[in-house]
Amino acid sequence: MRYLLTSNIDGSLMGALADEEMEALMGRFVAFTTALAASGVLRGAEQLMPADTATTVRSRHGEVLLTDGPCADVSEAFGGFWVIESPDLDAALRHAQECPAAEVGSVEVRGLVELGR
Amino acid sequence: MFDPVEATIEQVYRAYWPTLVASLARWTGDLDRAEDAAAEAIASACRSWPVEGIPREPGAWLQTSARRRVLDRIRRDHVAEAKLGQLAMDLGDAPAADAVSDPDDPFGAVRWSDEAAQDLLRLVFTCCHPALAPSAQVPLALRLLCGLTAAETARLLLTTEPTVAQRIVRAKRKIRDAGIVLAVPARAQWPDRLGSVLTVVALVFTEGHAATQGPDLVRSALCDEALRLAALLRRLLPDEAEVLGLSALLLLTDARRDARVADGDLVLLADQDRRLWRWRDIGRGLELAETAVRRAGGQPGPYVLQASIAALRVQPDHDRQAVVLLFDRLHTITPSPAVGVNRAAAVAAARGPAAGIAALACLDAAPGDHRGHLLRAELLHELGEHAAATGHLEQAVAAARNDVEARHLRRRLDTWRGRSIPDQG
Repeated sequence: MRYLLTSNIDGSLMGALADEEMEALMGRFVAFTTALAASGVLRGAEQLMPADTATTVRSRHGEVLLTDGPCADVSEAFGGFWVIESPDLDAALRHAQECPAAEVGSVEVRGLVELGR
Repeated sequence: MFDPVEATIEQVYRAYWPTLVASLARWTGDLDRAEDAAAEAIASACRSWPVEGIPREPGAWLQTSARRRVLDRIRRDHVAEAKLGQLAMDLGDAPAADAVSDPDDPFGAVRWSDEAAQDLLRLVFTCCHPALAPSAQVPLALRLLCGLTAAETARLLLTTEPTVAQRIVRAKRKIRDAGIVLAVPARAQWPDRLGSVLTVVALVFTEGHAATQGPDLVRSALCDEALRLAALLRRLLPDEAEVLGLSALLLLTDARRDARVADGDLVLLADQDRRLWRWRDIGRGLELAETAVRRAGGQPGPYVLQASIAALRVQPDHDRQAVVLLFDRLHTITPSPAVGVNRAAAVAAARGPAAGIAALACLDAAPGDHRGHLLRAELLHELGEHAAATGHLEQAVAAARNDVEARHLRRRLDTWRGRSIPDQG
């Protein structure tokens, strides 16, 4: 059976790390991903851009509402994901507002870190 | 042409600032580099212009100075030689900004080429992108379009310079990392995107005109910046009805600025000394409102409607029923609590207090908003229901955060309760 592992970071815990601890932590992330790949269980992995670069899309009564920032509503729960290729945020937002999740919750739109750029 | 004796250096560079930043932003593709280079060019101007005099073509001077700095910076940052080569080739390609004179328009002393105007339009839409929070859009607009420093912006917004600087940094980071491109949106997106832009300008104005907190009722410097932004938009989009409507609304409202406060106290519209109104601004506002209505055809948007209401209210004996009809349309398009309360006030003015109360009854009471409580209090007072009226006025006093408004409401409360006001001497 396939599983989704999501990384949810506590900013204050991260912020409390000393520089060497932070560097070590980043190294462990890479090692973790590499190990999963090596063991053959990995089906995909991406790093997201920081949460404050996200935009949240909701659609209520046919009206599209954009909010700066990630989904912050505790009554909403992560339920699915799509990875798309778009030239810019506006194009990505146009796709996002077509997602039915926007009507009964929200769709968070956040860039992925493109490694090797 | 700027008179080298009369114009201050600040007036000159503020007039050229937005096109400077906009063209640099397009040229480098980087808002940060653009802003830094522009700021350095201004600093350089502040050092050499007092000594050498204001150049005949300040725009060209600033562009050249800024672009040289961008290239220097890029060399120092060891950015790829290819990029350097490509930018260096464009060094001579700064969009033209020549001086013409128009005393009314803060940007009137500068003529923009089509390219400069497009650059500016891109920058305007980017600063006001709806994916940015209003708390980011406002300082970004004040910084990049009005040329205010972080310190000046902080003073106007009643916050600290580090807070403003932080918001601007994060806004630029989001623009870069979320993939917000420097572009004019497709026409199909204009209703929403232009709406965002106009909302930012309206926010700046509202904060200046009826400051939500603090000791002063009117922070006129903020109103001035909002008017400046509206003038910028009018230059860029002279045929957009909503842009004209917003400009008209701001002019008609700001024209009353000097009459709104007397001896530190709020003066209601009906009691204002109309000789203190700026009649020249009212004249221009009425002209703009008329043009806006024509441009809108049969489909006036929210700012055209508000401008029409403001235009009607210039006359003391205006058609109050017409105002109600305009509010009905406005409430259909933008059914916010504030519009609901204003509509109810208009209904009361046209049909009497009982009708006003009925109009309020259909709205959900927004707990924090003192204007809803105030209106209820006034209407109930008119109907002779003094106990209920006083109760609502107490809630209005509790909710008001602006010192001048709160003081005014407290006085009224004391009067209603029959207590005399202590002599302030």
